[in-house]
Parts: sequence; structure tokens; C-alpha cells
Amino acid sequence: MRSYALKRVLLAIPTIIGVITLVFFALHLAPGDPVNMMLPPDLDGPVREEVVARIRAQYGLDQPLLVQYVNYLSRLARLDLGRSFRTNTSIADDLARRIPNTLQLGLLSLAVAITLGVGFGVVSAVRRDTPLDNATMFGALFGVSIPSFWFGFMLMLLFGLWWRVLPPSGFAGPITSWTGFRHAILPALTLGLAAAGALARFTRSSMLDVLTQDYVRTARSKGLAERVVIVRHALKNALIPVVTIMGIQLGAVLSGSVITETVFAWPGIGRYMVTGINTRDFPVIQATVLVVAVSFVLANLVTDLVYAFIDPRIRYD
Amino acid sequence: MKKGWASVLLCLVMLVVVVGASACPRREAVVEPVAPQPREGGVLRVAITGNPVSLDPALQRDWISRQAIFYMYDTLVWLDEKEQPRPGLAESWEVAPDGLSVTFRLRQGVKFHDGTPFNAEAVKFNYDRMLDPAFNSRNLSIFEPIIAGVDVVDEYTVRFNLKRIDVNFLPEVSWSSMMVSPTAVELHGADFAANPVGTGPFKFKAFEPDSHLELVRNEEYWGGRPYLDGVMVRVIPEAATRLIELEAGNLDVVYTIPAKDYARLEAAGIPVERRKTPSFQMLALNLAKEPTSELAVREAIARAIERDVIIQEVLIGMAEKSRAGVASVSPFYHDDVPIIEHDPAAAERILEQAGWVRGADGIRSRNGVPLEVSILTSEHEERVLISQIVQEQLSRIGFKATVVTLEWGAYLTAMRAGDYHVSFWSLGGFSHLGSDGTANLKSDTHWNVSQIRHQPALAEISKRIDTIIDTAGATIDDQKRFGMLREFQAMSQEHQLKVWLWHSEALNTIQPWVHGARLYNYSIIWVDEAWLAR
Repeated sequence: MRSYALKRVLLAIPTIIGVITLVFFALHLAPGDPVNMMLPPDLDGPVREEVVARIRAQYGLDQPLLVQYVNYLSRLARLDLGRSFRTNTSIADDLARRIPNTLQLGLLSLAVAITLGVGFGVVSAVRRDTPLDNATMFGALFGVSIPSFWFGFMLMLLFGLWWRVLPPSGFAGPITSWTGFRHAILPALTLGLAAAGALARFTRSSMLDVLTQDYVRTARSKGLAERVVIVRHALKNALIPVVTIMGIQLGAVLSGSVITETVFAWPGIGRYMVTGINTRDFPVIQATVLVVAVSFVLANLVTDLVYAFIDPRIRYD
Repeated sequence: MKKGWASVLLCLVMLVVVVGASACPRREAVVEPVAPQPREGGVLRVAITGNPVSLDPALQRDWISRQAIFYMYDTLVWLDEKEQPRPGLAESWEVAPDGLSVTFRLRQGVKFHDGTPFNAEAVKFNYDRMLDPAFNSRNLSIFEPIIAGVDVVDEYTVRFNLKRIDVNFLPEVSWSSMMVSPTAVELHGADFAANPVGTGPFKFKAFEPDSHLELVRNEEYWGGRPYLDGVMVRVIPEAATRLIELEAGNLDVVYTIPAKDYARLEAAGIPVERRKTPSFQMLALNLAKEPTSELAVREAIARAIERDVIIQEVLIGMAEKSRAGVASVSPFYHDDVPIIEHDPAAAERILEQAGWVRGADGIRSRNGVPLEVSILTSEHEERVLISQIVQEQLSRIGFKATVVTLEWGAYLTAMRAGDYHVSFWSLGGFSHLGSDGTANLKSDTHWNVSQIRHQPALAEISKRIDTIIDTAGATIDDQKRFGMLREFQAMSQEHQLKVWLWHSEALNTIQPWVHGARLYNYSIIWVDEAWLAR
């Protein structure tokens, strides 16, 4: 198990290098010059090309692309993510500030997604073809289908403007404080409900499949309580495909949500990446993509390890 | 059957909840009674649209950053409602007879937030820092061609030696002379932006990037102790979120209200201030690329554009139709320069005479070459919409027009490279006096948006325009300078160097319970004397 985990971690390294290489070249080959973004468009008067050339030299943009690439990799190997072109701040510091914000929101939304998604999925499967099942699946379809920005605004209008029970947007520190938590509720619901929809549908179909299996019938005929049959025997077996979906959600959660963070003015990785992209801030884009890549690799690893935990038949050799 | 009905009912209930959420009536905004006397206390909550580039004034030059950090700093001079320079950290100033130096006498007894004194050495330190190429200040490219050096005359007198006479020097100083504490810069080095220290009415407390900036009262502000306990600047990128927060009463000042939301806010009892700013919007025409290099084609484009419709439909009437690049409130405005109005019949006639005839498909061509233009736009919603309207209006007179939409960085590169025929371009100056409407037409401007330097046929005209701009920039006599730009405006119209569109208004909101706040031509709110009655 431990050697398996180690192998998976080592295997992730070429994946990550591949991603950062792709991103590096895609960025530099795409149209759009970062120096242009540093000069305001309302700049009137003679800005001699030497000023532009100086900025280019300062950021190493005048070097051949391959040299820039090698420099970038060698800095990365020293864990130096560089400084933002736009704000001249240390990217490592910027990330250290934003990753916890994204994580708090993400984990809270994952909790919402799992509680509601798995809960309603199981209930739906057990109460198959009842009004409860129909309503739950309608709700799940709704959760999957509606765009998060629209749903976010609806929550904001309802809870923030008309009922005024929650702050419509913003960030007020860690969610361990009451104010911080109140600010996280609406964005976490926005993110969580969409994910819960998908989870509920997967859980339901997987549970329906499992509930018809012989061992469930055996468990029932042994006279086990229905609750034990459902939770211990059926659910654990039904969770394999659900965990796969959760793994993907976890990756998304760790790398931040661009739309939800923007709508709710939440200072996380998603917002940081968007600003970076809009301003051609190469080091910021590269660093955030790295975060995303690592997040997904981590999430996949966690998913695989969880498989073994919930299904002992799965062995890693 | 019963079960089936029950589930339909449940679904309906959910649907009603969701639809109800979108249609529920808005709660009326409550307008607090006006208090007669200034009240002390409270935190002013301000919303801006993006993260400030830096809290160090020397490292930013954009509006949004200024809207975030201005309360921490003071400038040497500031421009009043009539755009006249007023004393700020400088009590008075004197321009040398030859115009090549400006001497400022500084206010005495002013202290930075860290307790260190503000004096001539501090001014010199600030400008030396901005002029140091290694520091890479965003003001470097502006000041480098103007300032030769800064001398300390005595403790409270400082002299700027200029490389050339520049009438925009004082307006420029009013924008970019936010003074930082030299001691704090030396102490924090590259991390000064994380620990900003100025002389302004509010002091830095905390900054959460992409979220909020917290400022607290500077008890010892030289302009008098502010009434407000502090200022909370929130970064809210999404316009709809800003409106919801505004209507919920969670914001006191909101910069940049979309024109389409004006009526809604007014109806909710939230006043929106409409302000004519020194900005202009135009269609940049590529003078160096066929077919817009041809005068007849440019003249036809100018007459095909129905500006009144776009102003009504897109800007909800919040703009003034442009005559020749300067708004009617500008001192550079000349009402005898011809205005080019919508006249599609004349546009078609001009094209016919130039040999561009309509084919069976309605598209004009000449010698087998179709009349084809590409309209370049960035992804901004409003610009895309405007470009589509322009496309439609050009198609009506026989153009084959395509809209090319690029992301902002790629768009700027394409503009610089001249990879367009027609493009919507918008600039905002910070004073009418400093915005003469020459609009990037000087041949060596970094952002020349006409490509005039690549068109040999217009070399004479380009040279004349450069001369006018240079001479005007060095002409201290205002009236003379205003007159000189008339020739430029007439030339621009005669040769149809660009299509002037309109001068849009800036819409900002200050809640009725905020008193004593002033909004000047920068669209930056001054809060040193503001107080809250909420």
C-alpha cells in the first residue's frame, strides 16, 4: 500500500512536468504581449521603444523561448515561483494567502455535496418511484443543470437582499469564526448543490444496482435491520463509482472555482488565476495551473486510496 | 395515481420557489433622515471593480488602484472642479519664466503615518524612486521624457527641472504625486506595498488581496481629524453583486455603475451621479491598410454609423455625441468644426463615385475586389455589442464586415500591429485641460491607433499633426493652445482620420446618508471631510 502510494506520487511528477511544459509554451505562443499589459492603454506621448525593451529585459522576456523555459524549470526546482508581472508581489506569498481561502470554501461545499448528494441518493434509491424519489431526482437534475452564476445570484437575492439573513457576498476571515462562516454559506451552497445533484444521481443508480444483489437479499434474510443492510452492506459497495465522482469534485474544489469566487467576491485561487489570465501575467498563470495540476493528481491519489478502504477486494501490487 | 400527483405537486412547489426567487418584489430602500451636524464615527464602505495593482502609488497608474488607495495619500497639488491646480502638500508653486522648472513650496508640519516628517527631501526621494529604471514605476514612462531632475532648495522648497515645457506637467503631478514615507520604503524595501505609509486622512490597517482593504482614521491628519473611523474598500468584480450589496445597504459608495442599471437604482431611491468625464470613444481606422487607407471608404464608414441609435440602445442615453473628439464642456471644443452626421445616402453615393459598386449579393466590389473590412474588438460585453451594431450598419451600405473578437491582451497586440480595419477605441483622461482630443494620433505614440506612421501618402499630414501636438504641449498660453487644436480637429475630419463616436458619462453612486464626500473629475471620492448619517 505504501509503495503503491509512493509509486503513484512519483508517477505524478512527469504528469505535472508535462502540464507545466504545455502551459508554458501555449502561453508564450498565444497572441498577447505581457509588456502591453503593463503599459496603460491611455498612455499618451512618446513612450520610446527603449522603455518597452527595458521592461522586457527586466522580466527576461527578451531571451529565446527555450532559455526562458529552462530558467523557469530551474527556478521551479528551487521552489521559486517568481513574482507577478502585474503586482510585483511574490507568487508563493500570494498563493499561500489564497489557497486556504479556496480550501475552506471547497471543503465546506464538498461537505454540502456529500451530505446532500449521498443522503438524497440513498433515500431516493430506497424509496424508489415514490414522490420523494421523483422530487429528489428533479432537484438533482435542477442542481446539475442550472449555471452556478445564476444560482449564486438567486441565493444572494433571496438570503442577502430580500430576507437579509446572510451577507450576500464577500470574505470575512476563516470559517472557524462565526462571521467568516456566515460569509461562506452562500458560495458553499452554490458550489455544493451543483455537485450534490451529480452525486445524488450517481448514488441512486449505483444503490439501485447493489440493492438487487444476492448478498443484500442474504443480509435481509439473515434478519438484519434494514438500516444495517442499507448502510453496512449496500452503501459501502455502491460507493465505488460515487467516490470516483467525488474525486473529480475534490480536484475541482482544491483548485478553486473561477465563477463562484468571482460572483461572491471570494479571494481564492480561481480569482487569482482569472486576473492572471486577463493581464497576461505569465508567472501567475503558470503557478496557478501548477496548483490545479497538483490538486487533481492529489485528488486522484486520494480517490484510489479510498477505493482500497471501501472495497478490500481492490489490491495494489 | 395518487403518488404520481404528489410528485407533480412537489416538483411544482420547487419550481414556484425558484421562479419566485427571480420575480419577488424588491424591498424599498430606506432613506435615512439627514442629520444637521457632522457626526463622528462609522466606517465608509466603498466598492471597486478589481484588485488594486499595488498599494504603492508608484507602482500603479490605473483608476481602480487609485480608487482603492487614494485615501492613504496626498498629492502635491490637486485639480478642482474647474480643473485649476489647488494646494495639496504643496502650499504654492511657481513656474520659471522659461517654463523649464517648477518650484513647489511645501506645507510645514505634515507627518507621514509613521511619524516621520514630510519635507523637500521626501519629495525628491519619491521622484528619484519613480525615475529609477530599476524600480520600474508605472509613472516612469510618463515622467522620464519630462523631468530632468529634482533639487532640494531648502527643507520646504523643492524644484523640478524639466527637459521640455509641458503644459500637462501640473495636471500630471496632481495625478501621480501621492507621497510615500522614505523611512518606510527603506525599512520594508520591496515589501513596502504590503506596508504602505502615506500622509493621507486614513492609515493602512489590513489588506486581503481580491477581497478588501481596511483603513483607519489618521488622528493627526494635517487637513483636520476625519469624522469617519475608517474606510473599508471592497473588491467586487461582478457588477450584479455590487448592485445587490448596494441595494441591501451594505455599501456606501460604488464606483462604475453600468448604464443599464441606472433606472433601476434611481427607482430604488439610490441616487446615481452622472459625470461628464474627459473621455472619448471612437472608431479607430487603419490608415495604412486597404481599403480603409482610401479616403472615400473612411468617409462612407463615418456616414454609415448611426451614433444616436447606439447611444440610446447601448449607453441608455448616457453619452454626448462627439463632434471632433472633445466634449462640449472641454476648453478645446470648437463648434465651427464640422460634425459628421449619419447619412447613409451620402455614404452610398461616395462609394459609388469611388467605383465601389454593389453586386448581386449586395456587397460592393471594385475590379473584382470586394469591399471587405474586419472589425476588431476585445471581449468586453459592451464593445462586442457596439462592434456588432457597426457591422450591421456597414453591411447596409454594401460592406462585407466581419467582427473579430479577441481576448484583451491579444487585442492590444493586434491593435499595435495594425491587424484591423476598424476598431472601437476608448480613452479616459483625468482632466479636460489635459485631454486635447489628439487621441493617440501622434506618429510616435506607443498606442498610435491609426497606423498613420505606416502610410506614406499621409506623411505630410502626419508631420503637421505632430507639430501641432508638440507646439500645443509647449504653449503655456491657454487660449492660444485651445485655438491650435482647432486645426487638428478640422484636419481629422477633413481626412476622416477616425470616426468620432461619443463622450460617455461615468456613473457612480454615493448613498444619501453619506455627507461631505466630494467627487472630482477623477471619479475618485474624497472622504477626508465625509461623515455618515446612517
